[in-house]
Amino acid sequence: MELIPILSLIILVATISTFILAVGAYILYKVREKKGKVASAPQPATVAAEFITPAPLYGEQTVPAPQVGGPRRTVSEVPMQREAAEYQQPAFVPQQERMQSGPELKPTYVNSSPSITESRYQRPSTETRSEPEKTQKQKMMRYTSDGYTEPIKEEKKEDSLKWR
Amino acid sequence: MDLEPRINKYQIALDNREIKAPKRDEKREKKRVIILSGVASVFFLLVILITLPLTVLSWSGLLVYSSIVSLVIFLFLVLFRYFSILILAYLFITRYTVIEKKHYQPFVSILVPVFNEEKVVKQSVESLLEIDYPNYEIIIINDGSKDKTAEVAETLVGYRQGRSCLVKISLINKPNSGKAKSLNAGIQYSQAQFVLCMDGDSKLSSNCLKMGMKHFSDPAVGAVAGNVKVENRKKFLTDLQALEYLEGLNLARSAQGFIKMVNIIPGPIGIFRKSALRDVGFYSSDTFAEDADLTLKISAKSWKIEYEPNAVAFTEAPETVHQLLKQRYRWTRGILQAIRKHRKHLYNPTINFNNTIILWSMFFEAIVWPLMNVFVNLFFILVALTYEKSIFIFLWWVGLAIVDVMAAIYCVAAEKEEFRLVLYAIVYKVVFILLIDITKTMGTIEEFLGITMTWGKLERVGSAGSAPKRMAPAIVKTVGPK
Repeated sequence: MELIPILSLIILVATISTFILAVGAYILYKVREKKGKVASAPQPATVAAEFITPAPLYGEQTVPAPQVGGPRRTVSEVPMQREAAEYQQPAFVPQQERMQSGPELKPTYVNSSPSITESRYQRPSTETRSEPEKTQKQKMMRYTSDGYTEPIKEEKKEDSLKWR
Repeated sequence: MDLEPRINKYQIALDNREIKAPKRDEKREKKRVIILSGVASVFFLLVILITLPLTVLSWSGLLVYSSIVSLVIFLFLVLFRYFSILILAYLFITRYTVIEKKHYQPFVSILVPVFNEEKVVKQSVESLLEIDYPNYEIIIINDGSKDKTAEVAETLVGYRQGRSCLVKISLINKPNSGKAKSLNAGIQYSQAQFVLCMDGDSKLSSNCLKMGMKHFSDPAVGAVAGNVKVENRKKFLTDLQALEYLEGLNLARSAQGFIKMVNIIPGPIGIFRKSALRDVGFYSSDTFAEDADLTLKISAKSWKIEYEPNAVAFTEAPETVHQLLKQRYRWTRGILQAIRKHRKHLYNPTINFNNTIILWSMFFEAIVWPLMNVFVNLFFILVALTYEKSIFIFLWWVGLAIVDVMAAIYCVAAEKEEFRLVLYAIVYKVVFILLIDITKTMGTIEEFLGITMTWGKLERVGSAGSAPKRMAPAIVKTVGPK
């Protein structure tokens, strides 16, 4: 007997068997699927969940957490983190339309939030400035004629310390 | 150095909103499709009725003639598809070998969504500690598992010694709402500007982040697609899937990578720039193929999508025919839903030409190809049974088997895979692809008729471990809290 007719028969039988198998498996799948149908419920805007995370390491400085029951706070409100986020933004962003009213997906803690780690080299918050702060208006007065008093005259008025 | 810090538990509110596709008037759409297809059918029938007496053809002759024309067109498409994919993939690999990108290693969050994965979650997370990258964290998202996944995952929370750095592992326990929303929850609590999204049962290669992140040195790159391989091999069905991942998915993805038109960032490994995700409204759960939908959204916003063949994820493939068909049925319907969601790009190439090409190629792979394959096989069966000419089906198989073996040899050589997989190419088309294509056809018909479907869950057996040794991710010693 020749080889090609035998091979042809094998291929034919394999193809027909595959068809039968596929249709059978599909019917079985549909029967099984029907058994486990669940009605879909409307989705709320927020879902309560639990976030489990280890406390920060290396004795990093922390920002005190807000009091229980206080307003919700997002991580992105911390300036250092915002700076870091901005640093990693791409230099080139293709021209895209801004999202109109979609989710922002910022972390939202209910009741209490974790102590957010910051750099050890951050300027301490207790530090006070030695010089009184000038408003933007006062700074600009240096370059205008009206209303500007020269600093030397002020010193003379105080009559306390003289810098040589 | 304190390696056993306190574990904190916080009550959080997850943003459950998402950007939804505009509401569809399904009844009107169906009516329109039925009317259009009816009018087209009547028109073609009239053309045949009017022109047939003017030709030498009889009705049976017309049937034979049209079948032969269809077969020739299909054969041409098969060969064109194969050779264009092979050539583009070859060009991709050549360029990939020559061009060296500089290192870029920003902080990355690896998001691991898990649902009833108690058997594999520990193994999966521990394999992530083997990643050779100096700056990353792991966030496990437990999507309301009913088994002991939450307990197992909680034991993993803490700081653990990875290969290159101390890795922070966090856990989010949330009610069940699907993979898309789980990944969105992980993105919400990730502090990194880049996220790697994976499947709970996948394992990543140690250099996946190093290789994948290099592409982000180009600020226009929004996402990087990884390379998915089957881990649980040495079984007939899973070996066939291993070959399919190589020949059908990764080869095509290489070709798409060359022309920067990757159409699906695979679920087991995809790295994203967070600003790109924010730009497209994150993952949506209105389709069953959230990865295809997200890829189309990113591409539509003009972000570049790269393919990285060395960022490998090992996934557990279905081991039974039922599970396999269930998975493919969901993929098919999900892809069709994604195509329908973005159909304005299909009709209008002026919005984003790349996306139009991507969508047409997806349309071809999801609808045209399976329908043609099923039709061709039915035709040859009919010819064999009616005219006792089974030689045609044999010749058809020989032709396809030669092409498949050739493609398989190329893929095995390019990816340094197991050579024994080439042997499966002989039965690949006649058994495996036909099986898948019949399921795809059924899925397409159901999607067209609007029959509802559920997600379903692939039952994991935790048997992944029979992969070649050089690929299997190792498990490392942990240092953190027990």
